[in-house]
Amino acid sequence: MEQHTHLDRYRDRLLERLRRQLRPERTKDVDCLQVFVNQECIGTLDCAAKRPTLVYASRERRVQMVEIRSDTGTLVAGMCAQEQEMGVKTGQFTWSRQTIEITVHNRADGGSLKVSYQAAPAWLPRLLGVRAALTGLATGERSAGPAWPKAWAISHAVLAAAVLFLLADRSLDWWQPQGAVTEGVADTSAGMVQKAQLPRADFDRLQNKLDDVVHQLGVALETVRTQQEEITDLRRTLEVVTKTQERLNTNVLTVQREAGSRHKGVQREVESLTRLLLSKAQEEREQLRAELQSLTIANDMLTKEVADLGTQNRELKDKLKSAGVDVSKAMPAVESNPAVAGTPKAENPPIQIAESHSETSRSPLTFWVSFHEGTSEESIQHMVEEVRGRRGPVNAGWYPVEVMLPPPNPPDRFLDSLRQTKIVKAVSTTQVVGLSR
Amino acid sequence: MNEAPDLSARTGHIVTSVEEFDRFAAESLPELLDQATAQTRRFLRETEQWADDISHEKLALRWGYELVERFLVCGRSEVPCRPFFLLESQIAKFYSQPDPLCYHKDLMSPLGRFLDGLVSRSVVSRDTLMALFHHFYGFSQAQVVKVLGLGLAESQRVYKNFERWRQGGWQRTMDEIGLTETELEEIEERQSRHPERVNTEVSRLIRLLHAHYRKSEPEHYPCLSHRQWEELFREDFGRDYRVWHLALCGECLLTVCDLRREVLNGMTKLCVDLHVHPPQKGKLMTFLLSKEGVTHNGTAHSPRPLSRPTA
Repeated sequence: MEQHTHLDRYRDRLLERLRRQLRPERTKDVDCLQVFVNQECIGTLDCAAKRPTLVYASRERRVQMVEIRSDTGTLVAGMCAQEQEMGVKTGQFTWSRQTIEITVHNRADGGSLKVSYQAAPAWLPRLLGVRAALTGLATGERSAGPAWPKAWAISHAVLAAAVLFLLADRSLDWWQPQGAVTEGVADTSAGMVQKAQLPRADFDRLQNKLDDVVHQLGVALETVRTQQEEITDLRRTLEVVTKTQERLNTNVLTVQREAGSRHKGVQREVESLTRLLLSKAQEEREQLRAELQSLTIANDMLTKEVADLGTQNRELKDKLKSAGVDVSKAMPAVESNPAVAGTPKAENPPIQIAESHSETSRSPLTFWVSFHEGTSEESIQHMVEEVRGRRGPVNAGWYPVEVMLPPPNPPDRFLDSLRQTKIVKAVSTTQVVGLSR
Repeated sequence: MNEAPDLSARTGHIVTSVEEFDRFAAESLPELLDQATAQTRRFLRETEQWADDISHEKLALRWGYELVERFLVCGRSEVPCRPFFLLESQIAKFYSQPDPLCYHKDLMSPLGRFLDGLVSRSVVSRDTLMALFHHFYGFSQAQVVKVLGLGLAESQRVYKNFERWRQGGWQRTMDEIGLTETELEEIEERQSRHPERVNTEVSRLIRLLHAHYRKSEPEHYPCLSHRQWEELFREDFGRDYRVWHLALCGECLLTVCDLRREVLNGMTKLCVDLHVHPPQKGKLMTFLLSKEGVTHNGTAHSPRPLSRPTA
């Protein structure tokens, strides 16, 4: 029960505070005002400055709620902007003789805020203070505050009253002679009155014109000020844009550099790979060339040897012929004396040896060869003659060929070179099955 | 019996001018406050942060009050409108934010409510922000100026902040929190009996509160390193940052106090030293009492050195 009473008392106290919020209080002038946007403090307005203004722009969020609070935390002005609402919204708030103007501009990509503060004219608080002091004196109220501010206010009031009295006195003095002249002349001539009133009318007209000019000047100054503010805003925006552009340019350059370095890297890899392949190919070519050279040398040597052998062979043949002639001449003697006849036989061995040497050095090789379809008999014969072979009868497309190979020529290499001949279809060293059938 | 239809008629009422809005709001203040309180209660229930006790009721009333306060000022720019519906939409928008309230069961005690109320108010009131240095660490206004390294104009402002806080700010804040004289005396009595324990608890709770309320100022939220603080003071910039961040960050304040040891002659180590009441005006008396380690009401103090939290 006690708790409920306590809670009710708390609620009443809060309600009383809210009621006070609705009644505009005449409090002391504030020094600073804190500006909150979406419940975040974005800056402070220094009220002592001349026409302080705060401009804020957000690129991420729209301005949904603006609060202006004094240093004590009192909410003096505020404005809501709906989430979907776009465009400009303005509000003017008067608080304790001060005016706060709030302008919210929401766009699709954020929002901006402008808060300007205008203090009351300097004479107004004094006048109000005097009034309050006089009221207090009249009603006999006593407050707990010190007495000197009231005395100060009263002295101000007395001074103001004295100044007003003097002004009134002076103006009466000023008007008095004019009035007397007008009265004196009124009887005699109305035109003179008009003459006396003319400067006054001119003066009024001039006064009006002057007022107009002052007003227009004020408007012009206000326009210039607004334009200056807009230019400042524009400059800020331009700075932001410039910065963004610079950042973008830097990013683009970085990307280009990265792309260039990557491209160079790939190119370098390809070049190194190509170089590697080329060097390998070069090496292989060198090897082939060396082999070819060695083969050429071997071939030359072989040709030379063959030529030598041919020469030797011819010489031997000549010798054999001459020996045969000698034998035929000496035959009757040999037949009559076999023992003697046996002696020249004994001289033959070198020839025999030479013959037998050539026989053993040339080994016979038999192989079977088949030719491509359409190969003429002439071509086949030509090829057999080229390899110095003897051809057998054809059986099922296979020709048996027998050649005598010189010692340095291995059979495999010979057969390989044969296989590479255009007209040859296949070569076999063994008898093909179809052939035996 | 006539109240219900009257209320329903009021709920749908449309106001068309600012004057009408003010008049209608003045007439319907109790209902508006009740609506805001009920919505807060519902939010706490739905987020499982509610208990049927007076502390929670007071919390709901306090937040309801703050919401209506905003509504009374901001609602004027929304006319023509249906005030009750407008308030409801504003409350819904407020509670749809991430972590709108700093809720912790330890903050429901009188001490917790006192600390929460102070820090929560400091987010919108500079007077309270400055007073935090006094209430949490027992700083005088001169010490605050020295720690923050402020210029002449800002120092003057700090003195004004303290003066206003002493004159009426503290009382107003206590009224808004709903702390009674009895509860405040209870805190002080507990502090005099177990000073070490209370200051340890305060140290723990303010860390919790700082972490929550510092988020309301994203630009001033991040902590600086020792080197950055040194540079900031040496180059003499970021005064606004110093004021706001150091009032709401114990660790950085510790760094800065360490950094400005030479300027703060006489202050050896930053300690959490709870002060329930605002600083007294009699400077000499306060000085003498604080030298003896006694509060204004005669209770003994046992300041707890502030330490960095271990990871």
